[in-house]
Amino acid sequence: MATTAEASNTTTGNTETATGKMIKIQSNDGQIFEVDQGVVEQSSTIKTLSDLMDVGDVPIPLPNVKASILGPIVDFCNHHKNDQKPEPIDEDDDDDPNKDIYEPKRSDDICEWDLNFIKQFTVPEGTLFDIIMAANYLGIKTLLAVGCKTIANMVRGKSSTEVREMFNISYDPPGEGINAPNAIEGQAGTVPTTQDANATGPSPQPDPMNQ
Amino acid sequence: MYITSNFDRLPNEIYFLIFDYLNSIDILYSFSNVNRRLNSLLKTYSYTKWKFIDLTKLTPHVFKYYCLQKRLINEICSIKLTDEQFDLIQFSSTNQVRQLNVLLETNYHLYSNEQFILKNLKKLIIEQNALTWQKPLMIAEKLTEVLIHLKTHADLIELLNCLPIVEKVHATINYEVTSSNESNSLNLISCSNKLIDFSYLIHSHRGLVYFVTDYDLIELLIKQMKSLINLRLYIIGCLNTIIDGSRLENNIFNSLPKLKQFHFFLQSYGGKRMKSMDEYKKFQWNFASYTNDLTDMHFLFTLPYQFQRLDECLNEHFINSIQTTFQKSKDKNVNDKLFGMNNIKHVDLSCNLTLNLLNELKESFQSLESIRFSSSTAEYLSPPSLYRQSRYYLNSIRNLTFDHTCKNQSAFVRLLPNLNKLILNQNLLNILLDETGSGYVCRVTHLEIYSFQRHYLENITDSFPNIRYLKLKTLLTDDEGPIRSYIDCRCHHKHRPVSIVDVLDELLKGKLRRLKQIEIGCYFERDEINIEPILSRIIRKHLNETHQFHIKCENYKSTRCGTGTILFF
Repeated sequence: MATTAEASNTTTGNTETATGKMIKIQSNDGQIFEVDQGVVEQSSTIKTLSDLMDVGDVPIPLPNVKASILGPIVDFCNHHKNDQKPEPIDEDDDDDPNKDIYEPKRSDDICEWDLNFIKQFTVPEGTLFDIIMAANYLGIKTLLAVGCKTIANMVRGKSSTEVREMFNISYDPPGEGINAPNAIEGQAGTVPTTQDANATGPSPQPDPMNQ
Repeated sequence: MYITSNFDRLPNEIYFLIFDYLNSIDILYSFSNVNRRLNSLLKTYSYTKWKFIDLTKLTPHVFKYYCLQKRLINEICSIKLTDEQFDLIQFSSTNQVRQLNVLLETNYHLYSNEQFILKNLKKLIIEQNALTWQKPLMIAEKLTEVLIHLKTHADLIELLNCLPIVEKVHATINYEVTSSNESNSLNLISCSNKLIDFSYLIHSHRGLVYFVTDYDLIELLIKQMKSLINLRLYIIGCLNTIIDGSRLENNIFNSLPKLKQFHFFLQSYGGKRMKSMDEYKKFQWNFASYTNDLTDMHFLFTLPYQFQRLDECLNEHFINSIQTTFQKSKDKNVNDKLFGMNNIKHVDLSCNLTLNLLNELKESFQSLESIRFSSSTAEYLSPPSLYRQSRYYLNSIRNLTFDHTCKNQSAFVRLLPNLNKLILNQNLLNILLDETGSGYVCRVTHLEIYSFQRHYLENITDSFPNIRYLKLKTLLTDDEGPIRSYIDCRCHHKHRPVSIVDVLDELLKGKLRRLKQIEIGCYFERDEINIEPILSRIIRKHLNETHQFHIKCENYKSTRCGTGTILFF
C-alpha cells in the first residue's frame, strides 16, 4: 500500500509559494514523495517525465529506485535547489591530443554537507552503489559527481588487490576471462585473477616502499 | 562472469565517470587485472590520456608501479614529475617525450648529461626551484620552448648558447646568498634567430636582495635578440640604475624592430629620483615610476601592470604617488583599470601597516593571495595599531611569510580570516602566540617554522590543531649556507640539530591526526643507516595498519643538510 512522505524542507508554506506546483514521485516499493519544482529541475528524468505527461495528482513511477534511496535523494535535491548552476564545461577538452598534460578532474572539492550526506551510504551494504545508480537513472549530475568522486577518493593509491577486496569485485571464473589460457596481455599485466591463491603468479603490484 | 558485488552492477559509463577523477596511472594501478570487463574498459578508455601524464601527485608506490611499465614510459609524449621521480625514472633511448615538466622541490643539479637523453624534447619546463648542471650543457637541440628557474645570469647565457632553434624562453633567477656580481659572465655567442618570446624575471625568491643585478648585462643580452616580438623584464636588485627614455630607446626599442608586447619592472636602490615622465611619452607603452622614500628604492614599470608580484614597492602612498605618462583620472575605478594592479598575487612588504595601506590592499589588489614581510627594513617599523574590526579584514590572503626580524608586524595575522599557510621563525611564532593567542592561526593548515627549537613543539601542536603540512627546520633560512663538519664531512648544522625520532614520536602522540606531510631537519641521527626503519616503527606504534605512509631521508653518506620527510596517505 502506498504511503506518502514529504521531504522535510518542502513542508513550509514559503518554499511552496516560491517554487510553484508540487509533483509526486513514487518509488518501486510504493512510497510517494512530494517534491517541488526546484527538485524536479535537478533531475532530467523526472523533469522529462513531468513535461511529457500531464501527471496531475498521479505520482510519477520510478521503478528503478527504492524508497530508502529516493528519500535521501529528495533531501539532497532540496538542499541544493538554490545552488547556482555551474558553467557548462567543454567535456571534449579532456581528449584533446594537443593538450600538454592530461589533468584528471578535481575530486577533493566535495562540500562538507555532501561529505556528510554520502557517509550514510556504505560499500558493505551496497547503498553507495545504489545511490550512484539512482543518480545516474534520475539524471542528477551533482549527486552522480559526488558519488563518483567518493569512489575515486577511496580507490586512489590502492592496488587492484585492495580495490577488489574493498568493493568485493567478482573474479573471472577459472579458465575464463583473464584467467583463460591465452588471455595474458602486456598492457594490463600478466597475472590471472582467480580466488585460488595457488593459481596466481607473482603479484603485478610492487611491494609498498616501506616494506 | 560471476556477479557477486554491487560494484559489478555499475554500468560502464559510471566506471568511466569514476576514471575521470583519477590520474591515468592510478587507474592502471587500481583496476588492471581485476577482471576481464575492467581490463577491456581500460583498453577503450581514452588512449591519449596515458600519453600526457602528470606523475607529481602519485603516491610513491603507484609511481614505483609506473616505473615498471616500460612500454608506457616509452610511449609518453608529455610528462610532469618531481625531481625525486626524475632521478628514479628511466627513459629508453627510443623515448617519444616531447614535453618534460619537472617540479623541483629543491634546487637540482644535473650531474650527468646522460640523464637528459630526450632527443625529441621540444618543450622543457622547470618549476619552483633552480636547475644547475655539469658544464658543458648538452640539452636536446630540438628545444623550442623553455620555461626555467636558474641561479645566475651566467647560467641563462650558457643555456641560450645551447638552444639554436628556440622560440620561447621564460627564465626566472632565484636570488640566493650565493648569487654574486656577475661582471665576468659569459657572452652570448649565438642567439636563436627564431627567439620571439623572452621573459626574464629576477625577484627575491626568499626575500633576500643584495643589489648585485647588473642591468647593463641584461641590456646587452636583449640587444642581441633581434627577432623578439614579446619581451617581459622584471628586474630587482639594481644599484644606482636609472633608465631614462633615451637609454630605453637606444638600447631596447631600436634593437628590437619587431617588438609588439613589452612589460617592464625595474627596481633600483639609490640613484637620482625620477623628476618627469615626459621622456617616456613618445613610446607606445604607458610607463609609471615611483620612489619609496623609506627604502630609497626607485621603480620604473609599464602599465597596465602585467606581473603577478610586486617587490618592496608598496606602501600607503603608492597608488596616489605613482607618476604616469598618462593623465590619471579622478575616478579611482578608472585608475585601477589603467594601473591593472588586480593581476598581482604576491607582494613583498617593507612599510608601515596603516589604515590607508589596508584600504589600498583591499580595493586595488583584489587578487592578492600572498604577503611577505621582508626583513630589510621591517625591524625599524612601528607595530601596527590593532585593527580588529572585520571591515579591515583582507579576505583574499591565504599565505603569509615573515622574515626573521619582523616581530613588529606579527599582529597582522588578526586581519587575515582565511589564512592558510604561515611561514616564520620560532621566536616570531612565540611572540605571535603570546601577543595574539592561537585563535587567529588555528585554521592554518600549512606551517613552516625556521630556527625550530624542540622545547616549543608542544606549543605548536596545541596551537595548530588543523595542520596538514608541517615543516620544522632548524636552519635560520633556506639560504643559510651549510656549516660543514670537518670531522666526518657529513652532517651540517651540528650546533643545533633536533632528534627526528623524538620529534616524530611527540607529533604522532599529540593531537595532530590530520597530518599529510611532515618535514624535519636538520636532525642529528645523520649517521644512522637504519633511520627509515626506525621511523617506520614509530609511525606503526601510533597509527593502525590501514594508514599508508612513505619516508624520505637524506642518505647517511650525503653531505647535504639532513631533512627527513614523511608523507601520509
